Amino acid sequence: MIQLKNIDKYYDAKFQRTFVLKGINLEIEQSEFVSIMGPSGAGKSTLLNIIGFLDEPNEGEYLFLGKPANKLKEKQKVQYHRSHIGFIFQAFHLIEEMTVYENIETPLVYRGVKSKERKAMVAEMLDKFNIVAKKDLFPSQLSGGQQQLVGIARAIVGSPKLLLADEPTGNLHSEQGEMIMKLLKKLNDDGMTIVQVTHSEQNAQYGNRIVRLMDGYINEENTN
Amino acid sequence: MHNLKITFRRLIKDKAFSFINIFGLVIGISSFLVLFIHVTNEKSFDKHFNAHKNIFRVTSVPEGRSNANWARSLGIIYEVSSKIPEVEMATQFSNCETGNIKIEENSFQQKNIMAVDEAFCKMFEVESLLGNLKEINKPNTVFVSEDFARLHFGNLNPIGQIIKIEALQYVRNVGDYEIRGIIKITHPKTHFKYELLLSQKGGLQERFESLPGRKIQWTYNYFKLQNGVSPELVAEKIKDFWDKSSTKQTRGPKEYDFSLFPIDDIHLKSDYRFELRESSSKINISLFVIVSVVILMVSLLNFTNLNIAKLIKRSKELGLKKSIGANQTQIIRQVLTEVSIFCLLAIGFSLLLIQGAESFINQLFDIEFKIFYNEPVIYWSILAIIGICLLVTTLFVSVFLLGRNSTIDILAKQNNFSGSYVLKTLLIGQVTIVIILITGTFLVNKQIDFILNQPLGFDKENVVVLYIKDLSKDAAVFHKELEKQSHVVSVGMTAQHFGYPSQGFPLDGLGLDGTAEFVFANYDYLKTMNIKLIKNWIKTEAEVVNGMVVNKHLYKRLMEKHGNMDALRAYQEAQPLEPDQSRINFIGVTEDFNYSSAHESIGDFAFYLGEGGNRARFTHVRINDLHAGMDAIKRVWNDYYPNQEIDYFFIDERIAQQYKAETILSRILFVFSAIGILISIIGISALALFISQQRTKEIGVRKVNGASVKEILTVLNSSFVWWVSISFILATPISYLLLNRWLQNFAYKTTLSWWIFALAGIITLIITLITVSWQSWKAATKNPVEALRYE
Repeated sequence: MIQLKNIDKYYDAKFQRTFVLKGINLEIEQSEFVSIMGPSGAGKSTLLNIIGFLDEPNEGEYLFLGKPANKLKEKQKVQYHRSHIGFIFQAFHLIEEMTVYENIETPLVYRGVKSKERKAMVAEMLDKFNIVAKKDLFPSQLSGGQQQLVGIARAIVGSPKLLLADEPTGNLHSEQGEMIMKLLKKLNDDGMTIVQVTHSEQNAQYGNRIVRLMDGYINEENTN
Repeated sequence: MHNLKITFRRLIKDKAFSFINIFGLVIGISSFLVLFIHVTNEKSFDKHFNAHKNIFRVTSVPEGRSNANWARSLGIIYEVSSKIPEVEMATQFSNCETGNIKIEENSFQQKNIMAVDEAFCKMFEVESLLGNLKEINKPNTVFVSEDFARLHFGNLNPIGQIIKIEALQYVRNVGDYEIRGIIKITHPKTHFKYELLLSQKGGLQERFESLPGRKIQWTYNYFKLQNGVSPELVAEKIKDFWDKSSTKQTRGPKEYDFSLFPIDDIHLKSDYRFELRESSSKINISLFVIVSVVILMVSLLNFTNLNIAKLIKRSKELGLKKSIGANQTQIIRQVLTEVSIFCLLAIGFSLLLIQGAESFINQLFDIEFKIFYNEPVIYWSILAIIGICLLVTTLFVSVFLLGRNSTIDILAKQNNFSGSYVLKTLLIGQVTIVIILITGTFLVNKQIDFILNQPLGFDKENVVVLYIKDLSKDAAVFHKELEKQSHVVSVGMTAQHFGYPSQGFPLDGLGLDGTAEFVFANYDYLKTMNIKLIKNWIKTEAEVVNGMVVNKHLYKRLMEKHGNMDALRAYQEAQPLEPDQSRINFIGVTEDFNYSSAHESIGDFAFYLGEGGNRARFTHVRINDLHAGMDAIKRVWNDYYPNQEIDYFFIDERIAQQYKAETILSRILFVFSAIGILISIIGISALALFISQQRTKEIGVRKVNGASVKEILTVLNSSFVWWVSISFILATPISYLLLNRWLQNFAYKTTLSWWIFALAGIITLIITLITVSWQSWKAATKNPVEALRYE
């Protein structure tokens, strides 16, 4: 599904070039659950952002679903964001002024889904995550775990093929973290490809493959 | 719909920001609407006449008097109009501002009486509610306005009633006029106003018929030209007729300059004497336009600035939306929905505010401001404001936020305020405008002070002017009686008081070109006004002082021509004399002074001293105690002129009134620079808040490392000081140029002192520092632990 070939990402300062990623080769198949690990500054998030079209590599080739994705136009990126990729963030990034319901509904609004269908799809999500009772609350009225649930619901409401999670449990205490990880595992079992960035070995074990990054290089790969 | 709901939630959630944002915009939009609507009203004067483009007022200016044009003109103009084929319609009419009329036994003063013909009714679309306007051609008929009819006759039908015209401006006992109809009130935006329309036939007939043969300018002449005819051509044709006429050869000025003035321009541009209705020429309509646009710009700059700052704060949210599939259009649409809601709310509040403040505005600026909601211009201007707001914000949002930054930059909060050139530019622009407004206010005030304290050549304090209408009684007796009062210092008289159009006499008899202005006065008038004679040839033993006192300006010209007084007298003797003329006897020279206003430069001027004629019309009384003096004057008046209302004014007030335009201007500038400052304070303080919020971490780190509150304040404030300095450097040359141009309007100008600019800069700096420090202080005194944790 994802093929990264010799990906470089760097920033130019006055007299030197700082590499964030250097010569990354990575292949991810459909239905995999990949955990990217590594110390701070290893380039984990950058890699995830490149995979999710939020950032562009400076060098190298990126094939998404077999199609070259290096020089995608803004319009195509938007299309991928709408139908193929869902994001989960460490800081949840829910929209403060929207209720739980509206937060989940937003991606569908952008995709131009009709109001009736939207209702059904959001209702399904609320049901699936057991948050029907919370649908009219605002993010600030929820616990962290609940907020992340909403974040996941929003990410998958459009049934994307790929779910990208940037330290999804980083802001949660262990019990809630575990719940979220179990949920991700279940989504993966249902066939969704997931790539997560994490610091925690324990969380990494939920996936079936671990990619370890060190100073911009892939250090080792192992499969559970 | 979706965006709308969210926007309202956000609006309510961040109350402080919404309030600040809308408040700034409301002030700006209200100021703009007030000024803009007023300007539109002023500009639409007389445009309701169907043929307004083809209607002209004909003026005739005697040679050498081009600095003081009259709205009235020679009677011959009407006579020749029928011989000029290009003239489709012509009318002449007289106007009396205040006359005396009598209905049954009730005698009173009546404003706005005009003597007109049928062409007038056609040209100016007089509408009759009752009666046939053709009857205006019958002798001694009158048409009254609906207001007049209601006031004096109530619901009764006034037709057939008699109005006795006791006095018009120059004529008395005109006769009995029969009401033949009721007319609609004059359109509010017309350069004249009528309450009574008299027939020119009957009582006034002889006077009107004599006009073509006389060199007096008593009536107003209007032509309606055929489409496409050049007014210059018609003016030339009038001149040709004049040159051939016998009237030209009679005594008085020979050459007249005829011209046609479009009625479209009368209300805004006329500075003619005897103008039918006070024009707005001196209020400087273009200044209104400039100020209104400037204020709107300041508030829009502020609005955009605040919105961008807010968007930077919210950039994370926008980035997030992009990551979940929003495209550029959808994000811009969301931002625009928010901006539109702000604009609409602001416009709504503004309209309410203006409506509520209407009478206050009118009083403050002495204008007749009114919103005519039935005029499309109101809606256009509202649409224009929304359009501008949206356009400016769209531009900034798309260029600034979405084009330049990749999604991940936005999400990672890589935007900051201090690094943003757009915000800096906007802020500097705003502060520059404020500095210009402040300098303007200072200079206008300085100039007005300067003019009001100009030596006038006479002593304006404590002089009461009484308007004596009944000249049939000997005013000298009245004056004697007044002089007996202990609070009266002296009494003099003149036919034309200060600021009242004076008369002219041609100087050819003295060997000079042009015409001098002169007023009829008596010797006591000079004494009463404390007008000093620098040359005095008055024979003190003479009982009555008769002769001419000229001003220094004219004296100098005479001396340049003739060398000395004897030569001048010899020259005079050599001139032929008409039977009813007498030699001018020069008896003195006064200092130069302005008889009209400081707008006009000093010209040739003379007092024709004597005791008779209608010199008593304006009796000047110098008193030494305001209340006791006025009481005494009223007592004597009531004894001598029983049953006549006393009509008086103070000369210093009348002089101050001449500078009404400047006084209003200074008020406008003061109010609007205050508004500009207020809006900028709002903007600067919000920006300072955002910046200090963004630098919370930096402040925390600095404090942990031992920085004092003072040092942190310095860090936060220094950039603002820098921006104000740049604005100051930009504003100074601009305002210097603008103000220098404005000063050219005056014959006497004050200096553009350096302190005006320095003071404006310092005031702006102080205000900015206070505003910024308020926010910085809050940031600087925060517990550093809290500040660091916040990040």
